[in-house]
Amino acid sequence: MTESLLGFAILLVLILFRVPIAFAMAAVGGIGFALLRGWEPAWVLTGQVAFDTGLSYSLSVIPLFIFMGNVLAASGVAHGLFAGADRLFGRFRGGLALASVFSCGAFSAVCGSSLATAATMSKVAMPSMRKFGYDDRLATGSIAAGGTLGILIPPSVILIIYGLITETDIAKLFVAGVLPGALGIVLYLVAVRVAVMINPALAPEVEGKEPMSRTDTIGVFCVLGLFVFIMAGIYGDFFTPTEAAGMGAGAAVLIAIGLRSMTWADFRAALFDSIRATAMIFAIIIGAELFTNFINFAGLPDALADFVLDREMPVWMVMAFIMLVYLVLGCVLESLSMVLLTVPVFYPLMYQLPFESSLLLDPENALIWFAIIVVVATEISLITPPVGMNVFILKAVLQDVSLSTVFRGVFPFWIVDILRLGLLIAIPGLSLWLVGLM
Amino acid sequence: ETELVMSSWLPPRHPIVVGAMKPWAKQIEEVTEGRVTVRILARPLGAPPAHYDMAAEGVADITYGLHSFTTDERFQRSRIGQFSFLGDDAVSGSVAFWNVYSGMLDAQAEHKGTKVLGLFVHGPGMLHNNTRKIETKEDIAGLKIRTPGGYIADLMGELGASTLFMSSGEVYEKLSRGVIDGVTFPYDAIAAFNLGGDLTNTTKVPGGLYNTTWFLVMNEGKWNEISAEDQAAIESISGKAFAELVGTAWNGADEKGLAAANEAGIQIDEAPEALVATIAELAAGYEKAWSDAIAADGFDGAAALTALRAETGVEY
Amino acid sequence: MEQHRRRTTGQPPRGGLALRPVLENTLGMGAAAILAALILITCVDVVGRYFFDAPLTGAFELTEVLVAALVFTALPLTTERREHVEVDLLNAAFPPALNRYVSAFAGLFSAALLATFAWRLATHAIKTMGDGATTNALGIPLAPFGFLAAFACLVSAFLAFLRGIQPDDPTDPKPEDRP
Ligand code: NA
Ligand code: NA
Repeated sequence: MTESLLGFAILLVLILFRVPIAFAMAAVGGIGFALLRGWEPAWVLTGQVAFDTGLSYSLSVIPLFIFMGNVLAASGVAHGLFAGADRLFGRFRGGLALASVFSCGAFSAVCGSSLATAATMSKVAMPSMRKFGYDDRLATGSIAAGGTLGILIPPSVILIIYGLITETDIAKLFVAGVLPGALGIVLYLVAVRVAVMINPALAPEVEGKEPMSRTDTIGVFCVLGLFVFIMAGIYGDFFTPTEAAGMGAGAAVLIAIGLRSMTWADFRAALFDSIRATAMIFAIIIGAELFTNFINFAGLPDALADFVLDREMPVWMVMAFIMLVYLVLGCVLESLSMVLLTVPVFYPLMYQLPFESSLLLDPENALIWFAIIVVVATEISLITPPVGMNVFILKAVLQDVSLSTVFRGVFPFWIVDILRLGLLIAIPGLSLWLVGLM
Repeated sequence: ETELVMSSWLPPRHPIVVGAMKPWAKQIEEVTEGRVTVRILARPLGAPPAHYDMAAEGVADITYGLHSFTTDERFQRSRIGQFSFLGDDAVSGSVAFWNVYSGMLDAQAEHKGTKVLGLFVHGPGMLHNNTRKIETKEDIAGLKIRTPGGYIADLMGELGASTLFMSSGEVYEKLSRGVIDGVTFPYDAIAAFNLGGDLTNTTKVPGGLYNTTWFLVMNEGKWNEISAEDQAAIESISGKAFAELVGTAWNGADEKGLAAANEAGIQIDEAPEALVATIAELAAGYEKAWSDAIAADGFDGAAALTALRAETGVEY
Repeated sequence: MEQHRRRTTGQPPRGGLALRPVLENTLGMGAAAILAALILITCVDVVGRYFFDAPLTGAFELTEVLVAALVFTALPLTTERREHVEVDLLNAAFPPALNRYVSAFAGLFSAALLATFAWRLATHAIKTMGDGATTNALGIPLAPFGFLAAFACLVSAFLAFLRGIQPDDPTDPKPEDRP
């Protein structure tokens, strides 16, 4: 246990000194393993893990889902979603912020990543909100927060990786994310309304309607159609969740061609952005694999389980402790590395804890429920200072806004996120009800 | 005192882990009076196919896995355990496989860098499909069958099936989506991978249509660090004793699989004699090719096969 | 999931070759072609089996080896753009001179690590070649993919080393940007 904690500490120091997270994890993991086990085995393991991680059928979904999201982002359908949502919410004060949240949720349904969702929607929604005089805090906050839905509403790269770590059915994980994702949209809408009620200056009294062209309308139907295609394909037994990524990417290209909104340069950029993001993610996965091997060898997961079970700690206390770890780590770590570092440590506990809810007695259900909780906790980390990746995205798009403005803007959403996290922990049925219907 | 670290890639609740690996680890501690202990890691240190090399190169002390994980020629003589008509249950099959492979086929010489502690097979393999009852060779023709590769892939191909490979975890999804029409597995997989709903027919042959061979090994250097007395104690619960232990665990898993098959209403048939004869004829060709290949190193494959079948009592 | 700090322009490092276009036109085009191939394989496989009852036999294994090829081929491009996720939390707290040292440290650290990976992957590939390991059904030899991975890591190590010796980062955030 001491070795593991020391490893985490050194990892943190390296990360704070700007060593890329992937390389810091690989180095600490590799050297830690060498000190416990010897250099020769550590060298062998390093080459083997790096190579075998690349050679993965299941992980092929990562480049494919990323490419799907990038193509759709470039195809312009996001504007259709935003304008369409404005038709729903335009009559309320703060209508464009409500529309931003809602269209973020809609785009999440065809995009596997939170950062891509936030990046895409910020380009679409920010110009309008600024034009009509929205306070920067509300405008940026609603997009940064809305973007976090990308990894909860299927498809989701993080849920896939969780499924691979814990050997949980990915089709079930995707279904489990639907209701909590919808709950997230509703709570974010409430957060916008309450924020505007408390401080009416956040949103203008009157605002124009976001223009909606014919292409926009077609775009909305394309997104809806693609989501239905993916879901029906998976749950109608036409293709596997892994194959869904390839089919979705193919369909996205057809949509982009059909809409004639994408140039060759856009297409090339979508390809190149996707391959670079893929290498970035795999570097993190390889690094995390090496680090996890080290703490696994050092016996941390077993020690933790023994600690909790020997003392007969109450379940709520264990869950509260785990959530605290996520919230603290979420301050400094990026979402994927956080999941890769923590899930291997915590998930063995999920089928050993004496849960009271009968739903969680089945270990598979407990793992699915925990997946949703982990993802929501990770979503929160994306908007928690000082390192909130979604906030950085907004900042990168809007050079003249300060980071603290965005962080203050996400505060109402952060509050409802904590509320949602509590609800999901207390009521496992929110995550498991749809799974039970499969 | 020596602590041995085992990297285990099967899920922690897999019947082999629960019924063989963990009890065996406990036994080691008992027979050495606590001088040697085994710690099974909470999660494996690498991908399943890497597990032989992990033990050989000292990444872990003890690993287990399938010989067919390595697609190279290293475990050529282990292939005796892949053929048809070898044994009707996992205990007799595993004991015979251990006796013959570690005896007249000198398994230790093929397991470089490790000490062989266990060699075993699972229950008899059979052909499951969701299309029709298999009565003749023609009934197999055109079926898309998932196989683990090696002998059974060649055999099914020659019987007219088109064979596909995917990880065993993918089988459920591919079967339910019609990518494959059937699969070669022992009974246990029907329960383990929840295949009951997607299969209609199971076809058996005496002694099994095929099998897969497994190893349980310890890093050689680590083995040599253990005192002769403790080595002897460990050997007493390994080898043949371990084959019985793990065979019993597989048999229990097969019983669950059979129950799941019955519950799902899968029709189970013995292959008609004519089909068995066809398979036997094809099998003889593969057996001879294998036998010829190992003859170069001075091993008598035909005699080994006869000895193995004599031990399990399979007649076909 | 892209990085939050990225260079927006394609300017070469001072005094160096225009590395980016070279990388994009070689490794980049290769990786892009692999990505396109991955999509095609899935679509041909799925469409083939539904409409023509003819699935692509080796789809599983082709996907496996192509993902490995894609990941490692793209790695130098990610490294050149400094798109590996890193945390620049302390930048605002440090004086600029110290930040240069921190950035140089990060670059050299990355270079050393990537070089180690190149060495280990090459060793692994040599062993794989000696064993003659191939994929299960199609018999695709695995060693070439190991050598490709080693080569890509070596190129990436070189690119990270360039950052180590030229640590100035034009996109370094200004102190007032910090919360
Ligand atoms: Na999503
Ligand atoms: Na954070």
